[in-house]
Formats: sequence, C-alpha cells, structure tokens
Amino acid sequence: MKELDKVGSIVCVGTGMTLGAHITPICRSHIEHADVVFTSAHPMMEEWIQTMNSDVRTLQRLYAEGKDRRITYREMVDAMMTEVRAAKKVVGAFYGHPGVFAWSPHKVIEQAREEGYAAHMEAGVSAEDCLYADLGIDPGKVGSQNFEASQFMFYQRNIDPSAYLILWQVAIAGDKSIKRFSTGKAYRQLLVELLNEYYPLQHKVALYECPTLALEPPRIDWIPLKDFVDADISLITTMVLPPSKKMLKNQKILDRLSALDKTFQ
Amino acid sequence: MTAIQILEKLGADASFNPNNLTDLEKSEIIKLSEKSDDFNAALILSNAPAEEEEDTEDDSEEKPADVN
Repeated sequence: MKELDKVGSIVCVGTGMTLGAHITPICRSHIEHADVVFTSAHPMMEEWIQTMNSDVRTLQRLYAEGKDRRITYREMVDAMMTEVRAAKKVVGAFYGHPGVFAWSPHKVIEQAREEGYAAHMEAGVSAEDCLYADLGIDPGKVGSQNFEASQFMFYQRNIDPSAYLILWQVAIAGDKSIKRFSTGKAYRQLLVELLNEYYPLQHKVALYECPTLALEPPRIDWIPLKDFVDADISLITTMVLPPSKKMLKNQKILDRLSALDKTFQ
Repeated sequence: MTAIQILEKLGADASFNPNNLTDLEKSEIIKLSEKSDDFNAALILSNAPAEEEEDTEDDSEEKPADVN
C-alpha cells in the first residue's frame, strides 16, 4: 500500500547539451540543494555539476561493453531509489532533457511515486532543440518525425517523406542485443535499404552532433544517404532526413472545410 | 578561474571572448579535455517486436528477454 508524505524525494533534471549554456535556473537550483546528485552526462559536464554540489555520483560507471543496457538502466533506478528510501533529497541530472530518449528518469519517477515519495521532472534543453536551431529547421513548417533508429528498423512505421525524419542513436541501429556501443556497416546498410524505400540513395541527409563545449561548433555533415554506411558516427550522432516529396493536398477535407465555411460565414 | 569555470563562462556569457584566455588557462582546458573519456549517450531502450508481443510497452523493458 502506498504511503504518503515520505521524507525522501527525487527530481530528474536536464543539464542541457552544452556546458554552461543550457541549464535552467530551476534545474541548477535542484542540483545545488540536493542531498545527493546522480549524473549521466559527458565527464566534463559531470565535473561541472560537481562544482554545484558536494555529493555528486556518476551513473556512467554502470555502463560496460557487452553488458545488457536494461541491467544498466535498472541499476541507475536502483541507485537513485536507494537514496530516496534513505530519506534523501535526490536529484538525477541527465544530459539534455531528462525525459527525452531516456528510460531511467521516467522509471525512477514512476517507482518513487508508486512507493509514496515526491517525484517530478524538470525539462531541459534537448539535442532535438539544438538541432532545430543549428540546422535552421522549423518542425512546424512541414512536420517532423522522430524515431529511435533501432525501433524504426524493428517495426513497420508509416513514414511521411513530405516531413522531416530524424533518427536517433544511429550508431547502434539494429542492435537487438542491447549490449553494443556500435553495430556496424552491415546494420547501417540495412537501415539505408529501409530508408531507400522512401528516399533516393542520393538524397542528402545530415549527420548532426551537438557540442558539449561552447568552444566546439556543432557537427553538421551533409552526405548522400548511400554514404551513411561508411560515415564516421558515434553514439551522439543523429541523422536528419529532409523531405523528399512535397505535401499533397487533402482535397476531400479541403472541400468539406469549404462547405463548412459557407455554412458558418 | 579554473578550467571548468572558464568553460561555464564560455557557455553562459555571450560577451566572454575566448581569445582573451591566457596560455595557462588554455593549457588547463586542454588538460581537462584530454582526461575526459567518451561518455555513453545511450539512455533509451527500443523493444523488438518479439518482446512486445508478450508484454505491455512499459513493462516489457523491465523483464528479461533476448532482444530489446
């Protein structure tokens, strides 16, 4: 049975993508006033967070090549919940936005609430936010579809090639083992073949990486889709596919809207 | 200023000019960046269909399975 008003609490916050540039005042305040802060971010970002609180513990040590990431993510939740249950004011500080493409922050909040602890999330600046700024894309112009690359491959999705398509974690595209830090050319080739059902092989796609330090520019490499197989990519690389087709009018609905306009004008 | 304080200022202060950094400050930043390993950015799971057939979307990620 749930208990209410327990002393421990958890807040998941975002550090933003670029050190110093993106953290919100409320996220920083939660970090500064926490009893313990758990982090999963770039080492320099983690070192920066250490300047805000005397008890900062990295969750990055839980990763290992060949280790099932489901175990890693569960261990992240367990580490945070152990301190919540010990009546601590706990903060989970995750790079970017803590709730975007991140399992553990959502899970720890769900679990803490289930056990009767106060728990919530504060928004952060995500890689997607930076991507729109750096590439000059307005997702409202023709629409934007976001998929985790492996999920995109595992399931039959209805892709709209008249909108932007953004694929995340392309370096581990097709990894069913959940243990690898990268897949490989054969997997990328399969992804290219899948995308080729909607986009020509010469279609220009962008490989995007948001910088951790303000000293560095963002990576924006425009390449033909077919060249993705041999491209230099990492876990932070995102693929952006601009539309390959124009939007088609929905004449049936437009006609019905015109009829409505005549009725209600 | 420490290297981290400089990096924070670079991110947060639009008027801060990195060209004004001293050689010592530059070397401190280089030293810090050299000792920083790559981090693991993967934080999301994506279940393969075989797993989803048995479980609900959220619960499936918690249970042992052969694929994600």
